[in-house]
Amino acid sequence: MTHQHFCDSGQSSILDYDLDVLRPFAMKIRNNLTASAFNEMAYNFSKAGMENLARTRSHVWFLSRFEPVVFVCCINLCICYTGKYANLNECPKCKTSCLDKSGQARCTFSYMPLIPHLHVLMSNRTYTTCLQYHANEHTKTSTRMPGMMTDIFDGLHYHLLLGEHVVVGD
Amino acid sequence: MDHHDITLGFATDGFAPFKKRKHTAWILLIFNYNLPLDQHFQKDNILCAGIIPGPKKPWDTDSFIYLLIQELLELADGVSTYDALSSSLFALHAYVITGFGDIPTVSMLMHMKGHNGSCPCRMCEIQGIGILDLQNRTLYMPLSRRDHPKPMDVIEYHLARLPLHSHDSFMAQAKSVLSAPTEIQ
Repeated sequence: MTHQHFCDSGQSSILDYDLDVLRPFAMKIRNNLTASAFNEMAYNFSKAGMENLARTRSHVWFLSRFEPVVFVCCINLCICYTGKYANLNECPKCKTSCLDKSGQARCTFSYMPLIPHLHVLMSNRTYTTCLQYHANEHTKTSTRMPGMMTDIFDGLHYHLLLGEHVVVGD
Repeated sequence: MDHHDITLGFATDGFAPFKKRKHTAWILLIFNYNLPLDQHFQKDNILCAGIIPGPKKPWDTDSFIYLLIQELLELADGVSTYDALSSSLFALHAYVITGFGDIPTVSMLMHMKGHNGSCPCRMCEIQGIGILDLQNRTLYMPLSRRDHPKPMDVIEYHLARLPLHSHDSFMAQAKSVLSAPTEIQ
């Protein structure tokens, strides 16, 4: 089950034109093509309608609407300026400033948010059908073979915790 | 458990992107355990929550995973999501049921001393012992310490009855570390 499988499963609303842009981009990501190699290809295959990297990127962003959240972090990787450090301008460990003279961040950490990711996955019918494994399939197999470990869900600790409520903020 | 609930696993590990294995970057991975068994760890089904850039190991990892924890707290409360199967909105709950990694990773996440500490194991309280006449500071963890010249508290550990850590013993140790007068202690 690959992403290509998800895309080709017939229910996606991705247009052919979008796929023409996405395929070269997927090739770049899979094969670690450099930006210059990609742009050179775009130049050579411009008659076939291949876009350059900047245009491809913005097209992919338009389709996915998925953006990493960029945070400033210490240049020596001591801390990321989040939580209790959010209001600091200087690293408490190595005393270096987080911004350079022109006010730009000296080092950044890109965080890929989980919730938008799950939103997109849950709206995909093929993926959500696969997710039903835990609810339907797994319970069947474990009743068939009692006492046998087939999965993380067969663990004793997991079953003990199932009877309890999740308490947030202990 | 609702059939919509998602069980997640969290793992992180350092990797050296270059041939000279001097610099490391740290990757934060999320696994979805609701998928069929053979697809848990397929590359396409692993969610990457971020890469802590190198070249050094982070001093305070908590500040990097802070954002992830915030989102997981939100997910524990429930997030309104569209379900493709029933074409309706529902409250998506997702819980991390396991976190794993190798010894350096787990010791980093749990603020332990790592594999060269005097009590290196994350599961049990086995004490490491050194070789007396060498300048070597590596510690070893044999089960039997009968032949070691130094007097020991425990002469022999039994495999089936290792002194396991408990949540309370961890918290007591963390408190004593916090109240230690010097950084070395």
